[in-house]
Amino acid sequence: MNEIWIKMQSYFANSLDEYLTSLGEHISISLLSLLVAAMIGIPLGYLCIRYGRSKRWIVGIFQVLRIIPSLAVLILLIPIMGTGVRPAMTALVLLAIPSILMNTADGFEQVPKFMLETAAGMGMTQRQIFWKVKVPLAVPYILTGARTAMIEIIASATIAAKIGAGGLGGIIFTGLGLNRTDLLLVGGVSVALLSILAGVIFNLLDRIFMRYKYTGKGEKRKMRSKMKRAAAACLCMVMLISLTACGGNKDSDAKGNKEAEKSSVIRVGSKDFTEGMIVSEIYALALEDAGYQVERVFDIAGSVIHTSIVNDEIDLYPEYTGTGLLSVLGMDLITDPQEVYDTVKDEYEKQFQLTWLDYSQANDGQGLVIRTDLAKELGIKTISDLQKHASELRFASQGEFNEREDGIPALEKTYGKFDWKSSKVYDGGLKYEVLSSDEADVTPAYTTEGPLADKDKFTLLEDDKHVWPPYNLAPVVRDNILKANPDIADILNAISAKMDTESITALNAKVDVEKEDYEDVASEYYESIK
Amino acid sequence: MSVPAIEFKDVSKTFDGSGYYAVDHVSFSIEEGGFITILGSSGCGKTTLLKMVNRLYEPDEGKILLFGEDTSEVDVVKLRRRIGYVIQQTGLFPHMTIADNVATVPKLLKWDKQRIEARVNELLKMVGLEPEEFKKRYPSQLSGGQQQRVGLARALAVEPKIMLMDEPFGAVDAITRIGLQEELLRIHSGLKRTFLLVTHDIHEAFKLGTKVMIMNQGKICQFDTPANIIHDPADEFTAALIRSAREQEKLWEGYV
Repeated sequence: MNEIWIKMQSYFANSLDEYLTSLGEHISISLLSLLVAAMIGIPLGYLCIRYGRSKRWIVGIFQVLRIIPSLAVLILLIPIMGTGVRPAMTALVLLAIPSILMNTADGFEQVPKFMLETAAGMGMTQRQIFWKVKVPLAVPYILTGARTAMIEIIASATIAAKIGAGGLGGIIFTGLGLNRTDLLLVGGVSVALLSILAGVIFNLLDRIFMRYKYTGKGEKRKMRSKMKRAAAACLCMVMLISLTACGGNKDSDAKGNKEAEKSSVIRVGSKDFTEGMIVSEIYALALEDAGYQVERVFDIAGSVIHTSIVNDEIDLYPEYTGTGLLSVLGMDLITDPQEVYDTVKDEYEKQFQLTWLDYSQANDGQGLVIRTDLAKELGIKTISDLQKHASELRFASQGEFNEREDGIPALEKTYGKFDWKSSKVYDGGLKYEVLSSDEADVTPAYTTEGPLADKDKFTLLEDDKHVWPPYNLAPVVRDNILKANPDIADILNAISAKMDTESITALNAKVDVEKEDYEDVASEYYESIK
Repeated sequence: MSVPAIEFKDVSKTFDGSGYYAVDHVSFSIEEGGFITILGSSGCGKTTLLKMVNRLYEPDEGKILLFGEDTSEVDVVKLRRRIGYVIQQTGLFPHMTIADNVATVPKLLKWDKQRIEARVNELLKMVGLEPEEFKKRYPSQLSGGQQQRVGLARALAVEPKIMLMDEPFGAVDAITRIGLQEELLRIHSGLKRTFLLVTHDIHEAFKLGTKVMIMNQGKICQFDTPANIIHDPADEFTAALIRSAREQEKLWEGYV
């Protein structure tokens, strides 16, 4: 805990400007969205009451819209509006309209008929009745709606970071990507505090402008229950955040090895992305072909799969040599593939009683991708070329890439400063989209990603100064399993011998680009190499 | 003969789809300065009749004249600003202070601030509320009786020649009601105003009214002074009404 505290302090010391920018973006997106939502929701809410019959279907439409998660709205909007602040705001506005609309409608509806009749009886014109009686009596309801909307917007604005609209979400996603609790806490707590602050401000507004509500005795009780609700909401928030913060930090204490083996059932693990699942499926098929019973334990988060195999929850899984070296062992950077492999093989054996079988030529390492037309135009083939042209190019970063040791910091150490024309953060899943739609020119990528199979569109730049370690795929197997079933080594080594970067990229493309089933793709490939 | 303050000429009103007359071909005239109470059971058309005076309802047939002027030819907003209007639920605006509530019509007429303030103080005193104590409060901080006093003050703000009151004391307790009735009589006696008060309470009708209008099923049964009605009821309905009031009185006779 103490460690996290120190990390947070150093984050604020080093990146205060960045933090304040994110905070500013978050607040301005939230306020603008609220404003737009109010400009739509309040008149619509009034019209609902004015023209009674329309209420049901207007409310109905927005209720349905609200059910669609904001993230889905964002993704749906990308083909229409692209990425950036506009689609993010659109999603937030859609989210906020229903509560404003419905509360406005309620507000106008609750004004008693007799009150309007006395107002008319005293000689107020329709316009005066509207502004002097209806509106003031509806405002407290509208404020309640706006407060609910504001809190929802602030919470949901975190996802704006997924499509390059900035905000505190960027810090949270970076924290998730790097598994850094300090960043998760900084981002999450900031969002929570903003929500609470917004609630407090709205309550104050209500108190200042609606003084009459807080004079009678009955109203006080209402107020108290309101505060209770606010407090409950805050509590839920804090709990949610601490959950997200702790979720990524699962305990890693090993349970120790079990000596006995579970007969001949082999548990094959997989990381939770396409390539991991395809390769694991290929391993599984090969083992089944050799007569083993296989239990598939797929979809394990990359950050916990090592813990899973050490804890005897799986028996083997495909790992990358570079990941073993840097992330698991925490050793210094080596860039020669053979040397990396030898190092991890030795250390895994010593530290974890795990065996690295032969590594394949398939290298899923870090890379930088540029649009092919631009690469041809500017004559960029290597990262050195890229660095020279950086000031003409827009960079689409992903969450942690700007922070990660082997991301921008490593690049700049070797190649010199990258003075991008602009640099925005997007969700990793959108990077090719962003490049295709000409919203950015360069993005970090992994070297076997499916879309890279289309070389007319995307060009992977050569890492000519070898910043990045190799990430060769190889099976990692528990020693005791291998001892009990020595033929596993031959079975899996035969597969590794056939795999290379190009074939893996093609497999990824079939699943990610052509939307085929990963199991079909894996079995088709396995049949072809068997 | 002077021009009557209020005159109904063969006025009828039906509500959409009801199929019967809420007010059924009614004619009468009221001299200026009278305190007229309209008595009847609920649904007899008394409230409808009252609301046609300030055109909250428009008559389907017939004419209504105020001081000889056909109301349908006057601008409705101007007409209403000249008529005081009080209802049972008071209709005080909860978001305005007592002073602002009372000043509603003067403000609509754009009186200057000092005149408004002086008038508010005068009115609150007139209805028995200490201005300094009540001006800055909100309606929810007042008792039902006090709220009705404010409603009265508000209706009297621009010295209307005609006051319309729809069961103003229907929602206050018996003791408060008697106090308010006395207050209302006092206010009426000091000014030459025409008061029209709707009630279903026979005691209230006969106590307050210089003349009482008894209504049943949209028609006027009798319109006369309390003494004449009691001595000489015009029809069976009126006679029954008076009998029932006397029956009630008997309840008290055994407890001398």
